[in-house]
Amino acid sequence: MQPIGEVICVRESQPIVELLDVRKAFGGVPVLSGVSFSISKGSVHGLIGGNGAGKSTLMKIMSGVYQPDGGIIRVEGREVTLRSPLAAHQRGIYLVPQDPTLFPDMTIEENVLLGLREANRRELRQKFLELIKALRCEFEPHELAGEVSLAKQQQIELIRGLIREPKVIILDEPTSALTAKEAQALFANIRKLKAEKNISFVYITHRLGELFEIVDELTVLKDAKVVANGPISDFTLQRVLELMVPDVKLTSQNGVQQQQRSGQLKPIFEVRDLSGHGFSDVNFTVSAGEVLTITGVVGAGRTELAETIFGVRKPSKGQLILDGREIQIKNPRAAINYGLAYVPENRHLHGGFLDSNLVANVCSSVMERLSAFLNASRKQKDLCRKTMSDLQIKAKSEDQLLRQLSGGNQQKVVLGKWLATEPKVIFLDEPTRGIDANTREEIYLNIRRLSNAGIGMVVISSDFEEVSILSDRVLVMRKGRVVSELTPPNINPKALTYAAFGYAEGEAIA
Amino acid sequence: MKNWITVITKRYEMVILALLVVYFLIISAINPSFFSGNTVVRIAYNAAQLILVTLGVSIVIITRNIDVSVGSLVGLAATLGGAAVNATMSTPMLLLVTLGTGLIGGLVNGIGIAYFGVSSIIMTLGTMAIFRGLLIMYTGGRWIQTIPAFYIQGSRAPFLGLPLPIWISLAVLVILYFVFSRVRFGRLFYAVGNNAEGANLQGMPVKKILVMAYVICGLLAGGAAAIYIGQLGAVPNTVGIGLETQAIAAAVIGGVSLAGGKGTVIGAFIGALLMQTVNYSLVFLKVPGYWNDAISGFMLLAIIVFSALFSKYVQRQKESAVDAEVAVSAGAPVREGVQK
Repeated sequence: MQPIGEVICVRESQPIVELLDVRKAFGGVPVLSGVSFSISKGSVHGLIGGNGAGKSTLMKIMSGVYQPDGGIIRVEGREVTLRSPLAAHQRGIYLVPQDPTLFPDMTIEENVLLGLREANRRELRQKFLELIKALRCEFEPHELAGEVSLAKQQQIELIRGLIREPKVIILDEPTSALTAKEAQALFANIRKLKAEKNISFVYITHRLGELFEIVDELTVLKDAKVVANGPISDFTLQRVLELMVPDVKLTSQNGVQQQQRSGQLKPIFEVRDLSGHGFSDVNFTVSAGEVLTITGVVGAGRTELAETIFGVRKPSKGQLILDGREIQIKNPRAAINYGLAYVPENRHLHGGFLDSNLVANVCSSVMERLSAFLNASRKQKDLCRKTMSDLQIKAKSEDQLLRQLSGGNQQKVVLGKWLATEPKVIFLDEPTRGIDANTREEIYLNIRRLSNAGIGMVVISSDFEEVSILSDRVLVMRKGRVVSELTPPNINPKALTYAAFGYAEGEAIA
Repeated sequence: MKNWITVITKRYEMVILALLVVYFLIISAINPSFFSGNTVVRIAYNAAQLILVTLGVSIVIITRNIDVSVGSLVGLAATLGGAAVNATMSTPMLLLVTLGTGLIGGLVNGIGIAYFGVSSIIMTLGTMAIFRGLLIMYTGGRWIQTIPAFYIQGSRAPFLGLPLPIWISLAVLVILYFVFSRVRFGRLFYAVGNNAEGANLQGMPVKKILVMAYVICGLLAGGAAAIYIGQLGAVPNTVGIGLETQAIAAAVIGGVSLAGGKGTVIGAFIGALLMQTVNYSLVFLKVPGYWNDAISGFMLLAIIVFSALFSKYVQRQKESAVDAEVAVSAGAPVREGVQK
């Protein structure tokens, strides 16, 4: 017979959720390669990692949105299969997504209660009203969910979870849209729920300072694997940052690396005090022959910045200066006419015409220049052939459909489409996402070649490794602002990781 | 400023009802013989089938889908129903066939869209042609005539002074209003139309709801067919052509948003009445009946363009308010968490 005290102790330490060797790949690219960790009852479990470390996928697996390719999930010691979000709810796991998935045209009450099947609506409503009070929410049940602030929308999401009396609530970057005060209110609620109802939380964040405030246990993901795991007391801010620094695998070929510059650079394009939706007070200069990268964690406002410069969104203030003259960009057409080009992040959605041939794709940006009727098709073909040889696009002929090319070559075609406009500055948003290592190298070489040809190159990238290889200068953005500017030899994954998470390397960290 | 925005967005049914009354008065001013209780009854009587179809289409639109096959489905159901009553001399048989045809047609649409992932416009364009094709194949292009007098008279029989179709359309309105504003089942359609992905994350049966939307739409099309047979006393091979445009236009005019999740059955009902009033008034304005289709198409586009401009305006008002808020809080320190 064992002493009773010990039995209780064993119970207490039994994890509420365990993940064993969970694996998932998308299109052959592993996103999770054997992830294992466990969440203790009544604790806040931090989950962190750099861009693309696999956090989101892991959560979606835990909440039944994705099915894992392999591995075991146990809830309170019992192996479970979570086929749908409903199955996860029934097992006591609820995901509060980063962007609230509310019904904007319906009342807050309906947003919370409609998903529940229980017949006793009056009792549910009572529970809902109690939760509003307990969390000190400042909204009325009959307000429309689409008309309240983001912080309140997040509270609605939290209540949606709590009313199901879950064992585990997953919070995906809950503070990313909150002010400091709102974040403190959220923490107070988390502590309260943990203490009073013994609910466990999985807490995902990019704000590392929060970890030491709210988290009890921590798991660090890097490159689809768990690199560290344990109680928060085992970690320091320093150690957490070190753990997230990506390993550099690529050894770059000649010509890609930063170049030693001599003499003055000739500035082509300048952004002064630009503010807009998602970013504010951004200043930078792009010079001929220089690769400028803009980096930061996802959601730092980089894409919004590029879209604003390119006339997709309206700036609230600021100036754009091209070749020493201030310009006004009202729409993308104006940007193209001035000699700016923007190759967007999702080339499938925005950049290329998948079911058109290469000629049509390359020429789509310069239609009016080529449509001097009779010789148009001849000219188009010539332009396409030239682009294909310049960028080393691997295709059978210019009549192939864009869809039939590999991802890397599709990317080159989209780049070629913009080159056809003979741009002065090219913005590339995540140019190598989802592209294999060899093609990556080629794209890097192309970027460098274009830069040497005197085009201002601005690369937006979340991949610190890529940024380290490619950049002559790096702007690190965080929460809509440029927080640091790095130049060689200070451009390395470590310095970038520190800066992107809001710290300076070598700075005293308590 | 803020006030009229709230009125239009929150009390849209009232706005459209006022529009209907104003329109009625304008036509009466032009042609005083329009202004009579008789006119109102006649409009309501003739509107019954459009009302049923509009209500059905509205439910589909609320889920953020569309049904352009509903006119053909009414045609097919009316044809088969007319043939059934001619052969059996039985009203229950007619109802069984019309409603059954509607149910099956709705099921086909719903299953194709929810479970086979066909986009709703493609699916219903396909079934629109199929239903119409089946109708022509069955009749060989001939009309179904000699509908028995007992059905024609029975279906128009006055009850408390008003013809039966008016009562049917009101009864359907009341039931749907109750279900779609008070019952959880009905509210799920709005949730799916608002945010299908979010509804799935909430564990709602999104696919079943989609099938149900088309089944309800099909059943109402069957009901409309039954009314139609009695009203006309014959079934021409052109029955229901263009009805889907009228119904979609009426729904949109009644405030049912093509973006899904917004609008009420009351609004749709009033929209259908307005549409029918416009059609009916053309006679009094001495405009040829051929104009009906063009006018309903025009009204549809005018309302869609107007509401797009309007929501853009409201959106801009909101965004500038948010940006002002952000600008105020932008003074906060950026690099939080550094402790010295």
